[in-house]
Amino acid sequence: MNCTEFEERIALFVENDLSDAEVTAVERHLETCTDCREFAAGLRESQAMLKGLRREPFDDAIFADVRSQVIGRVSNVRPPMWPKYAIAATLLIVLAAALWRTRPAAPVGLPAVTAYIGPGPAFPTPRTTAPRQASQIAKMTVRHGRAQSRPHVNSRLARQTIQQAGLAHPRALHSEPLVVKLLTNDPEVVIYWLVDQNGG
Amino acid sequence: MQELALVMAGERLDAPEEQLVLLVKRAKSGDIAAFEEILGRYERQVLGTALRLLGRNLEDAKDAAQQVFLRLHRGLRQLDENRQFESWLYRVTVNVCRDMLRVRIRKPAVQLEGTEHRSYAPGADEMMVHSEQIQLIYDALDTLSERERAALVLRDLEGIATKEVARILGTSEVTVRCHISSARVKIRKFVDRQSRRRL
Ligand SMILES: [Zn+2]
Repeated sequence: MNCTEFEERIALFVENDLSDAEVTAVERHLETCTDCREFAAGLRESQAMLKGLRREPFDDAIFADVRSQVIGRVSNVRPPMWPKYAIAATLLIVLAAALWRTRPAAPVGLPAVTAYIGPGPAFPTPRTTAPRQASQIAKMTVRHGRAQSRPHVNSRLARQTIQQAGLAHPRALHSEPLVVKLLTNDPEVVIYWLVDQNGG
Repeated sequence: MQELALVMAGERLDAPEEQLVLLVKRAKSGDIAAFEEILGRYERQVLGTALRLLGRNLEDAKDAAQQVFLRLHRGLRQLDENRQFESWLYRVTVNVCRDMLRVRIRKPAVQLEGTEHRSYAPGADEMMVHSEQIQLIYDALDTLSERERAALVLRDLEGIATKEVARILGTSEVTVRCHISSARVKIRKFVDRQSRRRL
């Protein structure tokens, strides 16, 4: 092994980054080679200068600046996981609006539409206080924003199921705004949407 | 945040690490004060590393540090507080700086007059010699490849073991050793050339 080949070994040797066997080989070479001894001395010097960067002073104002910028931005941010549910909820709102506009003129009562967003198994069983009128329930499964007129099927893909449960009470229907409640997997994220009975 | 799962398995926690675990738990639940405390603990590590990777451009280093901490905030929910996240932070810092350097190659940054080599402790005349040495080393770091620079900064300036540097950089220990040794040789030769020029 010539001196050039020893250079990189010496670079590891001066910082104790070599195995015992390698150390022995380098030490033997250094005993007999003046150039490499000089090279090792120079390396120790440049390494000391390099490590001098560790003592580089930083003004506290620099850190304060970074901190305030970051805190300022995260303080206005919803917790993570919010974005995908926000997208799903937006799609759902659009769909709910479309559904409402095209609803049958027949009795559609309960002035609350509950929508649930999330994977199939977690879907809560809809409860209605008027089982006889449950036939009015319109189910719609949406996949990637496209409405399909088939029943709800389990899938991990984005899916929103809208349940529109009906209880006949036309007066209530026309005097109160429709409330759309959107539940998500995140218990902190519940979206309420008020729908104007005149088509809003 | 999958990459975090690759970072070393959790070891028995000592006191500061236990505190960190609690801080991360609080930050996960939306406690901004806890998140700010995490920032306070790691800002020097992140900013210093960014500065050395990016080449003493303070504004870029601050920008990188912000990006790293914003990524941390976004990834908090997936963060396993029982695992070391120092390594994760280093990895994100390296990645953010690498991305910034690539953008800089495509679109060279416009240096504002006087900003690039500004002293971080203004008015410290007695530190002039030290400051010159620091600048010399920054110039030497500029002669390294991106990988050599990252390996050297993590090993010699952050004092991380070669094995862990390999994990952070997603490469083998052998490769890291190669990069570290060639980087040290380049630094030594650069310093030597500059010293001869001054004589
Ligand atoms: Zn020799």
